[in-house]
Amino acid sequence: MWDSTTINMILEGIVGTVYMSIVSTFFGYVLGLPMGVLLTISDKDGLRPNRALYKVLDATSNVVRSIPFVILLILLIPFTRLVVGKSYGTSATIVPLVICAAPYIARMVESSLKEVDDGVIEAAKAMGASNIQIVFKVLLVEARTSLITNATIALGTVLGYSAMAGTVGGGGLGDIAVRYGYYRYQLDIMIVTVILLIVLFQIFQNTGMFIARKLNHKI
Amino acid sequence: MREIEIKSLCKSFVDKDTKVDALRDINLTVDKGDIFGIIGMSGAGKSTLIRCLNYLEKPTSGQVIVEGKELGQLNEKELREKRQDIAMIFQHFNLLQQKNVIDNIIFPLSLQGVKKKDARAKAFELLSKVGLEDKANSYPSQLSGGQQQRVAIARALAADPKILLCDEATSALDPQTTASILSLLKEINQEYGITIVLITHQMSVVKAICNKVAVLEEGQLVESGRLEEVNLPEDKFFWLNKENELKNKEFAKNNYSKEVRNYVG
Repeated sequence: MWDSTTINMILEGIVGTVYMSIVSTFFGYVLGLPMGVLLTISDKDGLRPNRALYKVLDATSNVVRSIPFVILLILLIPFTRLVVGKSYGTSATIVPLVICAAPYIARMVESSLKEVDDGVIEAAKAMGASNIQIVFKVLLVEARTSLITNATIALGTVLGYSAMAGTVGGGGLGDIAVRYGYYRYQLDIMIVTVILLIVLFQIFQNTGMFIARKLNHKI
Repeated sequence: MREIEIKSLCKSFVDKDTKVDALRDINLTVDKGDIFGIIGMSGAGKSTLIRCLNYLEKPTSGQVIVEGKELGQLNEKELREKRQDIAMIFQHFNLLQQKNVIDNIIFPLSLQGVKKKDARAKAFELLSKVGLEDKANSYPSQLSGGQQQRVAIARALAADPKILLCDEATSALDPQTTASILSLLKEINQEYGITIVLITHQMSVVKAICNKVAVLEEGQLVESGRLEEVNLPEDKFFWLNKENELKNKEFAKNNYSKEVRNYVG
């Protein structure tokens, strides 16, 4: 049973999962990072309070986060077709993963940026820094350890969600686990894919934490 | 020559329905080259007052005139430019924790777009001025409080300010370190001609370096003038006692009303 076709399939699954997780997390940050920055500065104690903007972003992030991922996956099928051209496979799964991850990432970015010491922000203001300079030269720099720790958590969560997309033909290891392990009762393949998912998760987690530790100078 | 003029400055904070007058009708003049001390107990409005001098706090009414320019008249960009002339150091130093010492000193220059090479040269010069040449690559968390304040002073001097505001700059330091920081401030004042305004609750700080002093009590200036002219309480525990007295009064009042309420209830 463990012929070259099966092994190739599993290898492809690994590549698919890694591809989906990393690309989705990346685009999740492309949307979530600016959203998190805007949430931080438009909040009432922020650099430039803007109640309307904050409310809109706050509501958007809460609505998207309250939709279960499996439902989001289905709801977004027309949109996914529009963007990727098809609704199954690894590339198609990236679309709902990004939409699902972005508001979580925005919230994590917000909480990281709010950890930055007010005194340091005040010092920058006293030096004549503009709000944009404070965002790029103070907030994002001072919060980077926390941002990287959170990015690691985001990557791990996206990895888990990508496996969930397997139930609707999402590709990657999760897809294999569902098709062979669940529908065909091939327990050995399921166990192997699960172990591979655990190993991948550990690699992501440890690499992320290592980088975060390396870059932290605050003890 | 007049460096800073404060004219009938008021600042009140409104929180829901309660209004607190933090500063009431402050008039003050600081001349070029002064080391001007503002002393008062905590809650007197010192921090608010010093923050009005660079408009980190906007006064409710009144004027702050720095080198002939009224800060309230400036737009945001002009105000930011003006702030480069008014450096500030803080009780808790407020250094960037993720940047090393030299990059912290470069920081205000990088905000102004000074070339990295020129900024570095300047930063090393200032670092030797504050006596920390060997700490260029250390991070703030590896330094003592006194060393961090020295870095903060070097950072404040980087943009060639005309005025240095000190917000309880020695309150978190032990007496020996305080003395060394104060003598550094005095040196800076004499060597570069930088006007210094400092707020403190320590009488010893005022006596050590100030040539002028103002006493702030419950948001009002009760006295101001040259150090030798102003009647400063001799007792060095004066402020502490005054503070305790107030706290006790407050406590008694609260307890009393509680008792009354219990009795009535």
